Amino acid sequence: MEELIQKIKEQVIEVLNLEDVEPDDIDTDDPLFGDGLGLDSIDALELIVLLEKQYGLKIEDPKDGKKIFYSIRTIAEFIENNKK
Amino acid sequence: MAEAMQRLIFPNSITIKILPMENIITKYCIIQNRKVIVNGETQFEDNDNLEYGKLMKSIYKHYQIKYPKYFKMDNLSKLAFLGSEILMQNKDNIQDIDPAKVGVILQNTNSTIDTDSKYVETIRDKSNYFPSPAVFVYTLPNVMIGEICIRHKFQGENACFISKDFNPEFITEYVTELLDEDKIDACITGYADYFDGKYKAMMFLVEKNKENRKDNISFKPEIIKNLIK
Repeated sequence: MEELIQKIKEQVIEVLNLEDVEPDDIDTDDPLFGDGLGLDSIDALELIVLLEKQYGLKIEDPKDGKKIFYSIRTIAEFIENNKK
Repeated sequence: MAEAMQRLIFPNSITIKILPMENIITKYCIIQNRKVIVNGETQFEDNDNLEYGKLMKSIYKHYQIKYPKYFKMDNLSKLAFLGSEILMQNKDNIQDIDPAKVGVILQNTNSTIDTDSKYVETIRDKSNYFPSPAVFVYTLPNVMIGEICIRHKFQGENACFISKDFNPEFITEYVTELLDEDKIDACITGYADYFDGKYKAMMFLVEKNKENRKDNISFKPEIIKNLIK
């Protein structure tokens, strides 16, 4: 799980162009939106593409997005629980 | 009509037309050939032959800009954004103007063809079809203006005109009309273009003249042509 968390942090930094942010700067349990990394709605769409492209996972119900993308840990848990 | 009436009543009188005060360029910035020139003075020069992204980042750092969203912008928006940031530095008087009275009017040659091409790459392969929302949002040249407006909360008229070359006659006529008709009190205007590693920004901060001074720079096409020589 820790390996996956590290990988997701690196991928998020890359796809969202988070300049000057290192994986260790992102707290695994901090909220990604709002006060956390300050991501916006376009970033949310980019994260959906990331899950689909890198892990082959689709979010069937858009309402689930809020829970899945709450933090790096919740993304990792979603990937782990839905591995194909 | 008023003039005709005056001639009828006072046939020998002299007609005095009250013209709006001349609009002036209060700051200008040119980014091209690895240099940033502000009000005629070279303020930044790259001697390391940096590629475009790194060059823009060097300019960003040189002017100590703090705006993380910059890094998400496309190549064209980065250029226009940096030009506007440089124009706005030490220009607190613009921030005091009603945001609805500050306009951003730019010209550009290659529109967003650079980003359009990148977006096409994300959808070209049907077996690897992942349209990128972050790329797609920059497939309109007006978005560079949007980025400037969001940064400074400007809400005045904004437009981006595509033309073969920078056209000072057109831009001065358009912006002067907005200023003279009191639609806006200040404007960031000029030209910003990026394509295939080639870039050029020539941006001007134009304000209504409040005081006649010898060193005022008139917002006129011939003056602009001279400044960008």
